[in-house]
Amino acid sequence: MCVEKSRLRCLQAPIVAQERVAEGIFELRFAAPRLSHSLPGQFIHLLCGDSFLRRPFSIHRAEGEEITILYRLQGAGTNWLSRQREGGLLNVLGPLGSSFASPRENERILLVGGGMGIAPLAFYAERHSHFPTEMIAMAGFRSASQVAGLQPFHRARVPLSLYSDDGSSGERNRVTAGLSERISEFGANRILACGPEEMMKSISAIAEKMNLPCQVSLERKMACGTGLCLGCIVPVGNSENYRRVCVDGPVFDAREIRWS
Amino acid sequence: MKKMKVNLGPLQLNNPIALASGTCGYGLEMAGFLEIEHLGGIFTKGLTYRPSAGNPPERIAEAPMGMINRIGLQNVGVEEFLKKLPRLARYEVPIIANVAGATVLEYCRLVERLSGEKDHKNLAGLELNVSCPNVEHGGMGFGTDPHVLERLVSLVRAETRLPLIVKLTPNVTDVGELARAAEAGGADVLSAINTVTALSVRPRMLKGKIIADFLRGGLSGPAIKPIALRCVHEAFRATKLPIIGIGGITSLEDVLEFIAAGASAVQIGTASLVNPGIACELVKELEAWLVQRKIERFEDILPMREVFEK
Repeated sequence: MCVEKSRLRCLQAPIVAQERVAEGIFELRFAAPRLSHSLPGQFIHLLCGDSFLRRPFSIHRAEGEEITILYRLQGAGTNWLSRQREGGLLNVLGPLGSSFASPRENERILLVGGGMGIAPLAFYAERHSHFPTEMIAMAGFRSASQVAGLQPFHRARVPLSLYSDDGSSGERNRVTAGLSERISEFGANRILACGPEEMMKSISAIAEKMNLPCQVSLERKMACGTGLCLGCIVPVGNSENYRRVCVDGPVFDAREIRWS
Repeated sequence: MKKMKVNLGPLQLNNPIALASGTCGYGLEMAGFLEIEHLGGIFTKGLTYRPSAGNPPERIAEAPMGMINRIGLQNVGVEEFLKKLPRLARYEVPIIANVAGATVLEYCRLVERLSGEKDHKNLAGLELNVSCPNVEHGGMGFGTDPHVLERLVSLVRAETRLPLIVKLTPNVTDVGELARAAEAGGADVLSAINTVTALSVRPRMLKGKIIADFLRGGLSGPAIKPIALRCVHEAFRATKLPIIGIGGITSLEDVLEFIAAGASAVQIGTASLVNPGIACELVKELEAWLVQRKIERFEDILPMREVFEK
């Protein structure tokens, strides 16, 4: 009988640190050597207290034996998570899902994030910082009080433009407002995006018009995270056709998605 | 492990813990999470004759100790399913196809196709999903009317020599009556229960009025365990058929509760969606439990029906 090499198991991972980094936004770091091979775009699935289903979180950083996630308080699950302290154990399943395509030599990659969507893009920038490729990032937030998760861009020396809905941080505008111009100025030949659905829909349209490859990372209500329940589907193609965000995604080629 | 084997009429499972339909794909998907060869059996994703895309999103909602789903029988259809079967054969685990249809004819065509000479060898049985809406009867579930159910089971019975399991729905007044109807139709085994009809309501305000996003579907998970136990027990008392218990099992204690209530085996469903390796963990726990009590064979602990006779 052949033995499956790397069977996915639930891990008990000790929390190394948890910090409130902005209004209602937390950064949580835990030790999980088995997750060190995680790729930017992949996620972990966490049990959160009394909530029955796990909660998916994008990986924000995988450095040495430690994994970092960035999350906003949203409900009972994240509330429970925010109360956990150093030394506490997390029940983790992962890494799960697809990842952003790795850079190719001399590529010019534009990273566009909105809110917590910045988390996997920051991971991408840092993971590939030594690769001979040019990256710039655009990040949009509601206001200055919500800005978080940008340090990896600084560490990776990836130039960053900030936008906010109220002008309290960076330019008062949506990241998508001047996107076409930025693409041309920078000479981008690929776009990676993660954030609110409307934002990704607009970016996807712009990328298609400019004939640029674009990958988006989607978020859906999820049960298993392992492809079994078929709960987190997204419509693709022209006819009645669905793909699972948890295993076929969360990173998809933007042209594949049938946006609502 | 020979001592873990369990006989349910003509159906033999490797041990009393199997994977429930709809939570384990077509079986092969589980290889990344557990030792397939250690399972008692696999009840594959609800199958229809033709491929089906299933319902549009949203499909799921969380509930206290459970979840509500309206996946809508998304599946690859019988021809693709048959291609998958040979790859499962090497695990030597009984594969039971869960079958569904919108009309009696559809059930019969599907069952006939699955019962061909060659496929017969790769399939250990068929589980009839009778919770689907019957389009010829105003969308009422096949499993909610004893006459409709008995007729469906007897017509399907005529199409196959494979062990036939009828999966009972809890969304009825008298489960015992439906269990007897399935028995009369020629079922070999009963499994209970399918999901419990439920509604998720997410209220929000619009122009000073409260409105909501609704999701109507089937509730599963530990929330339904007491309902499942009641149904298993009622079916046990109503018929002579062996029963497979399903509904919110997450621990060895839960398994033993179902066995005590009248089940000879169980299926693990929604729990696999939270911990995909849980079924094999439970197999090991049950085995250790038997060893610790010096019990020779699992089947020795099954309760005698006479105990429950009035």
